[in-house]
Amino acid sequence: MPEEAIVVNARVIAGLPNALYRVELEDGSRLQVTAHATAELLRILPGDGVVVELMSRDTTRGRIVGKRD
Amino acid sequence: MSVQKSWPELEKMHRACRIVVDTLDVLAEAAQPGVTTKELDRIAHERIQKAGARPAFLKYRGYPATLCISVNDEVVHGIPGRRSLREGDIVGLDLGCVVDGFYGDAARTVGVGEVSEQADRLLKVTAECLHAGIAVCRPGSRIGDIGYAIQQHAEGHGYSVVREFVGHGIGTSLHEEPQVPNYGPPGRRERLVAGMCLAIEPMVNVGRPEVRVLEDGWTAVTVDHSLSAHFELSIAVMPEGPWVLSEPYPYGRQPESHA
Repeated sequence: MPEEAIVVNARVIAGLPNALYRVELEDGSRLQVTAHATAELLRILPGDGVVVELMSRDTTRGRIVGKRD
Repeated sequence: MSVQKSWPELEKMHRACRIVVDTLDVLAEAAQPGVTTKELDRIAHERIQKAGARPAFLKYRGYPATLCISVNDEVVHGIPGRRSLREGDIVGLDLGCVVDGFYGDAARTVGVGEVSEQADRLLKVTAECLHAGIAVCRPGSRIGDIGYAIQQHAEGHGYSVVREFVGHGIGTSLHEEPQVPNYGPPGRRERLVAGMCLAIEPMVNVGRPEVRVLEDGWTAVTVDHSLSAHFELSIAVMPEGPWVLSEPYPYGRQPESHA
């Protein structure tokens, strides 16, 4: 029995203050996520493809864990 | 990081996986035109109980049945009911059980009677995707290598892989870390180590990759109603390479009691 994915692809809609970003998931839903301050993630711009890890069962929150390549 | 299993624990997982795959063999035979999906669920439940195991899906997060049956454009998590199978349908059968606290999980998609050439090709390619994913499971590989192998094979045949559902670690619970996506770049995510157990399960669509979940809260269907197939096996990472846990003891291993 497959599990619901918690790591999903998303696109950055807007950068917000305090390392928050508004992103849109592939299913069209939008949410606000934080980014880890790793070098790869220092420059995230609107339009960038990113990988978002959702809080396990709470799909309204999450964090950016990487950029898409 | 997924829990590494000891050899006695792997033997228990082997027993659970054996029961699941034996039952799937029976169900694959029973999936004939006119049979209801509820009837297949009943057969699965009886076989698992007779084998001294417990169904793993029943009551899992409120799931109401022993078996998941996903017909045609249903991807996964179809709930058994009054629907009768028809000649030409393709039927995903997904089953899990628990033995001595250890889980086994496997799935396959079968044709009912004669199926179209397109359906037959989808089943063949999806089964190949599963084995392509298993083939890279050795210590030192990454979780991303599995998804990459599966995605390459599926997309190479013009199909797409489902993103919303993923394979998973398995052991003393049905879903353990890590998640095992069926797509993505190689060389990423967790490193595989000996003793890890994973359920690898490509879900492959003829059309677009997107799925949506019906009002029952479980059944996932392709948004474009294209056919979808699902194959799954539970494997253990051995120092020598993968062990499909429903297969006989690999790499010259013997049951502990005889050793």
